Amino acid sequence: MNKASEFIILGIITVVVAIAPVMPVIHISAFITRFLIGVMIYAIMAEGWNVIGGYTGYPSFGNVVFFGLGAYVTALSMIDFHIGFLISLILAAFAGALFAVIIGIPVLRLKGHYFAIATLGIGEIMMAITLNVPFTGEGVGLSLPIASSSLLFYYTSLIALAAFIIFLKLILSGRLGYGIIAVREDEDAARMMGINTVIVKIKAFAISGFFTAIAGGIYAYWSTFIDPPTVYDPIISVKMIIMAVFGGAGTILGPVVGAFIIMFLSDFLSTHFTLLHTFFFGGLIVLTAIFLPKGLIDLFSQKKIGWNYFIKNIKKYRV
Amino acid sequence: MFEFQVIINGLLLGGLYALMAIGMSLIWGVTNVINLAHGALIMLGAYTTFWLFKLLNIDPFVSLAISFTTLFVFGFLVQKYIINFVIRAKMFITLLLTFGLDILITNVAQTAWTSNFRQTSPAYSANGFSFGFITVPYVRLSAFIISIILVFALYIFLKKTKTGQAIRAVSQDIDAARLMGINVAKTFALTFAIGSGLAGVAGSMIGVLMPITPQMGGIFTLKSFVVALVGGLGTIFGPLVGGLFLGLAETLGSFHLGAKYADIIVFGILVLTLIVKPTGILGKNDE
Repeated sequence: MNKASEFIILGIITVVVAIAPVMPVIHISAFITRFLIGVMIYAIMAEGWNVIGGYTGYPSFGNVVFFGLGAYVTALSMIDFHIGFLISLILAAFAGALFAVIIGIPVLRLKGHYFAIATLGIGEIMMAITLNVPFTGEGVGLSLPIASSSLLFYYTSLIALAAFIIFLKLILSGRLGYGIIAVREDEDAARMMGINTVIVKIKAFAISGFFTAIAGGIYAYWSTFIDPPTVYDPIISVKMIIMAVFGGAGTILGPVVGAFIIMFLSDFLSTHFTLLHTFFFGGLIVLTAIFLPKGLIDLFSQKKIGWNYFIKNIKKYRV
Repeated sequence: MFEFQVIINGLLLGGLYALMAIGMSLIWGVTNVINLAHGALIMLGAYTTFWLFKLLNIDPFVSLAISFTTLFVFGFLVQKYIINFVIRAKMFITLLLTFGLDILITNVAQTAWTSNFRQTSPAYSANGFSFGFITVPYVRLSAFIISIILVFALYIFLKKTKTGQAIRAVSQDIDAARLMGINVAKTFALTFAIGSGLAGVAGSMIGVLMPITPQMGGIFTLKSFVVALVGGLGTIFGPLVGGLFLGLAETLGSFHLGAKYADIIVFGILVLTLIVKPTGILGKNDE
């Protein structure tokens, strides 16, 4: 990354960090607050995918399972046990991490396509189970109490996102972080070097599950109603992936940038160009996969940005 | 007695599953792309037959050929001008790309044809014959027979024709195939075209048996995947074996446990296969 773009990015971060906490207080409309809450929830999920898909190199296509689980644990603990929102959220987070460990032990032995589709299948199984067991309200869904103010969601998601980014930054500069990246680059070599790759992968998956479940919990209380087809929708998994990849998978800020830009474009198109919005996600995914497989962050860290960058990308991967 | 009918139903459903999965299995085995837009292609096949029947009154079995050709051309263009560009990128990029194509095709179809339920309903669609307690619907039986014919036709095509041999060569080793003078990009495009054409045929049959909507594809993508995987990846007869297995498992399972467990059974089989024997029933054990 060159000096100028590093400086610009640092500048943007400083401004965001300074302004974000006071945004809702200095007025701004309810619409923007709502929009930002959505962005932050998706940013947490995209970052959650990034840990396992971007850094560890295990592209999960079923991360929505943690989102759904987090939403249901939060909802059930608030409705059935009358536990407060924040404690429920913490319970949900640990449930997400635990579930990641349980499914991770068999599934993380698979590689490539097989891992991707196995996670997709687990998402579908969880949806089917939730639809059929009595205490989850089956297909009817669950209604949560209505919160007094949307500021609660703004600050919870802001704190969760900030905590996630700081946590990730710390992890990545430590032993686990090097282990994770070693697994992505060459798993066999990593094992030869004495890294316990199984533990490393499971830890990464658990981190992913932990934070994605928090996003699910915030979403559940925020939307006040959840049902299995909404919170286990496989499209949500794909949205996480496209946000992370569009921004830059395997970078800390990429998924956050991706979440913001994609949510903004999606919102803008749906209000102004309804027909175009219909084709937005599909088109964006196709274009990103062909032209920007390494994401925006990689594009802006080039010394020179021009057509050559895209042509080079295509030439590299075509047959 | 019921049990017999259930088994017959399971086998017939299995034939339909096999028909859906032949194309996906071929594409996956040769190009190593898991085509998540497979269900969308099936949906396009269903609509092709539906419109030909509704507007021109062409019989669904006659329009199988038209459906195959339309999807063949469509698939060729998609592989040549889109998927070939990323085929050597990380595997999840191709997964992501085909998922994007799936959303795109579905949304275009929805805009063009609305989400209304439709069905190709020729006069004989509900007919069948029965012996004793057992009833066999004609259309399902035809789908079963067609899928067996297609599997054998594909087998002969891949073994005996020059193009078929080129496809098998590319699936084994891209670089070696290229050194032998095979045009890899074109072979990939042809493979995808054949796979899409077969998806179109499956769609034509499905359109007679169940309602058509632009969103119908998603579940077919997943089921085709399960069938291809369970049967054995890269094997020509895998889809047939996998289809019959899944059809029987699903029908018997829902008969004994209740229909709401059908999905759990299907995806349970998927995850178990992946964990226990990812190479499938017919696949060899070594990777």
